Amino acid sequence: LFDSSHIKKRAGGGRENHAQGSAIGGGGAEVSGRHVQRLTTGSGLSGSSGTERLLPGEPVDSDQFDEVQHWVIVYEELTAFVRQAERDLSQMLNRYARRLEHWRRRHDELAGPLRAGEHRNRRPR
Amino acid sequence: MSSRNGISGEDFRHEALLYAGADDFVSRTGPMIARAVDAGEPVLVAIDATKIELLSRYLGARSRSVIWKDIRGIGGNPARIIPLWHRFVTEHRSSGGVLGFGEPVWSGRKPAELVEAQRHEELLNLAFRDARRFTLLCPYDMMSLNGEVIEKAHLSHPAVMYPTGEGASSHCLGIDAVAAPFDLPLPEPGGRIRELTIRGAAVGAVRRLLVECGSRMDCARREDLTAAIAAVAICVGGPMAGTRLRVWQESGALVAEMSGLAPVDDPLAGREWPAPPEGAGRGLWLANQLCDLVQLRTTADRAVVRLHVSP
Repeated sequence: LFDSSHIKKRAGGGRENHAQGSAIGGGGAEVSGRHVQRLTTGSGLSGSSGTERLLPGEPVDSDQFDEVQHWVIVYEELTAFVRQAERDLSQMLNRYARRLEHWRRRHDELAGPLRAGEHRNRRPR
Repeated sequence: MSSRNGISGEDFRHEALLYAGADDFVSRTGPMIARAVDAGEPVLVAIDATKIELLSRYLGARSRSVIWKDIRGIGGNPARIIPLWHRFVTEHRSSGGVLGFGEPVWSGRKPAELVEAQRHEELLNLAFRDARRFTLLCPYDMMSLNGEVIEKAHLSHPAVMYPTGEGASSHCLGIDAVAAPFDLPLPEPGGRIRELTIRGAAVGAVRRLLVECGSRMDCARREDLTAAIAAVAICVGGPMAGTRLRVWQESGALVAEMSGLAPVDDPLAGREWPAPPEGAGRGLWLANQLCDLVQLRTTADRAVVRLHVSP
């Protein structure tokens, strides 16, 4: 449905990284306010995949556990949304495909097989 | 009954802290944070990176007990801040008191961002009206913000801390006024506007429109905006009615306005934590994560949403 390659889940920090009180974005996260343009492989995040566009406010390689949890949830929700939309469309597609199959069969019964795309030029009798 | 640090009370306390420059900020907030830390109270400070540095230096070893957040990241879109406080308060609900500092209003914010930051400050009073032992202080820099912004702080905070003392704000909006449908008019955009009527997500058509309008924008950010539009269309838009989509560029950002949406009854929709499983709140929550700014205006019978994505 979408090109979701840029919203891959990439938070892989563990509890051992939790340190209340660590300054925001320790290890080179944003300090200028705007979100960082490109993600560089973060030392604190296993599974980071090189350069990827970040969402607003997404820290590059936060070592704060609550932040890591936050971004896991954000990307879980985003991927769940896109997957649900894909499933909904897939259900719709299946239904329409079944109806198309039905009407093609009826057509064949009445007038013989229809070639692909032929219906576009055919007028109802 | 006051809590141990002498700052937090039994109820939610939401105050504006007017300060004059960084030194004044540190000299006034530092001792408060030190007292709370010494009393074993959880402290979350969401300010800019420069002041985090200064305050950390002031606090020394105590700074390790403070949760620091760069407000310019998490709070760029002010609608993402209430979920942060919700989570903090929920996680420490058994504590004797919790202390927060949040500075979502800063000099250099775009006008649309300032409007939403003000709305955020008003909504805090609604969101935490039942919270217990939560003190939230919102710093405003009088040296860099204009008078109108400072004046508005009095509308959103029940009390204000001045350099010379503290006082109740008689202008603060009541909960009923905050909870009423927020229908402040949005300024009409200038420049070229492209328009489309969509039903459902209409991903293909939306994509094409965004490419036409924001051809220079990073593809990933256009996709984020496409996803946000789809989320709002699916979760907020009525199943039958078409949504009018207008797209334009504004100060380098790509802005998409969706009108003809179903009204949104919950003033806190999109600011929940965790994300709601369905409904308008879900669509707005997703849009808030994807966009640099989300503006919701609603009346009794319809809603308008503007989504801003920066390059």
